[in-house]
Amino acid sequence: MAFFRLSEWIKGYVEMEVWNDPEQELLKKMVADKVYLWDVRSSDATYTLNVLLPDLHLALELARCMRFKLRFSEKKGLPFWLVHARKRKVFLFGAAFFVVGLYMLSSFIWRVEISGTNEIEEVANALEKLNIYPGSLLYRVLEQDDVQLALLEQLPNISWVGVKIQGTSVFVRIIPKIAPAERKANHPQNIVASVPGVVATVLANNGKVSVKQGEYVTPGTVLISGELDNGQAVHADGKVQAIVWYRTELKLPLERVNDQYTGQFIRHDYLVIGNMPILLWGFAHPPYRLSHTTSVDETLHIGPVHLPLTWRISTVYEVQKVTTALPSAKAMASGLRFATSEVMRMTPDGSKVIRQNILQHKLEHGNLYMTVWSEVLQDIGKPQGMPSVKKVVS
Amino acid sequence: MKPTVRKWAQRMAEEWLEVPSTTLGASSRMVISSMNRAVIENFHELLTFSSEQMRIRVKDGIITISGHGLFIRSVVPEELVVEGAIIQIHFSVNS
Repeated sequence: MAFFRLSEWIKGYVEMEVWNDPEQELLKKMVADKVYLWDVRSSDATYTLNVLLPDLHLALELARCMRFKLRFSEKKGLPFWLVHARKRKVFLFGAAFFVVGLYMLSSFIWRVEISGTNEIEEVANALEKLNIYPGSLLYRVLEQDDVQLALLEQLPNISWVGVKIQGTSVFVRIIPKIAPAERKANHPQNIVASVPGVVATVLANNGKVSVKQGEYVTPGTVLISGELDNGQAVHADGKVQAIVWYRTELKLPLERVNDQYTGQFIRHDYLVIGNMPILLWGFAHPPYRLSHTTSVDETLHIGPVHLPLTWRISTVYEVQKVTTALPSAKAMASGLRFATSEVMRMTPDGSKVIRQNILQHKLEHGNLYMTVWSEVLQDIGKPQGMPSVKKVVS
Repeated sequence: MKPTVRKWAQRMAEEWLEVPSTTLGASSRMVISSMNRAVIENFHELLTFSSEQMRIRVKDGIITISGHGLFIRSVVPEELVVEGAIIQIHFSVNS
């Protein structure tokens, strides 16, 4: 076939050889009947011609009436192909499966790429609310522009976002907002002591230092003064480290009762439909006096579609009470640790315990009573407005 | 009556509008390109056909095409396309 035309291929056509027709009656009759023919070639005893499948019945009728012999040398086109394909169901199924599979796989988001920001988690969470995450279906995703607007609304600290959905990949480019420089406070103030202590170091950024190293200060003592010698009032600022003492009273039980697993357990498998668990496996009733149960739930899903079914593996462990007695030396060590964490809770960040002493301890009713003394190096400075504001000079 | 009106209209179109007469209806037309392709429009009947010679009846007579390896590229109601090495074309006009 020298040329290929889609319309002919869809209709189907045959190339046939006509025998026993020296006068070419069949050809002439078909031309007279205005049938579309092509590639008509003649040789000594026969001739071949191509005819469309819808016109073939004419040729067949003529051949039957006039006792010509027809031989089909080629059958081409969609109708023949379909008949052929009917014999190869598995192949056809495979082809359909491939097309459907390709279509299905291309309807998922495979990749989400976020660039231009360090807070990728935050952006990813916002995207997830808009159904953009690897494994999500693409048709649930809004248009690019709508996604952009929604993202701008959800993330307050971005100034621009570009979303590009390219096939199964989503590219998100973010330009974060640059926060404006914070205005420096300049109202006049003093730095005063918040707790009693002995001054260790004074680092003043602004203002006049009014205490010396080693000086004992009480709460309210001005550490860095905002009032300068020439009468100007400034915004005093700085860091005053001082040594502060804390007394901590503790009560530690020496006997402890713990739950301990014996190693015996029974496993139950449930299928949870909605809220109703159905026991599927593990019908043994736990014969334990004390037990502890843990459950692991796994939601069943087909691809991205979550089914309302949960597989629950619940394990019942046997538990026994075990009493342990703590040696008092160990109890005291842990008492010191408790005291440290208690002090750290009360002091600002960056504080440091320098020394610790056990002032007294006694055993009573199975408990250890302790009083711990801790020496802490901490920042004691606290801003305080100046009582008499004079003229502010910036 | 009708054929005369038609003829008159045709003549008017040819003379006044300068439309080529071959584009108007019944007369047949033959286009030969590079001696291996002949297109015959408005043919009436295929008389004989072989790879050496074919005869086609048109309105005014019979066209005989001689050559080697002639074959019909395509036939549609209005048009017949012959391809092959064309050596001679002979027209015999109806008497």
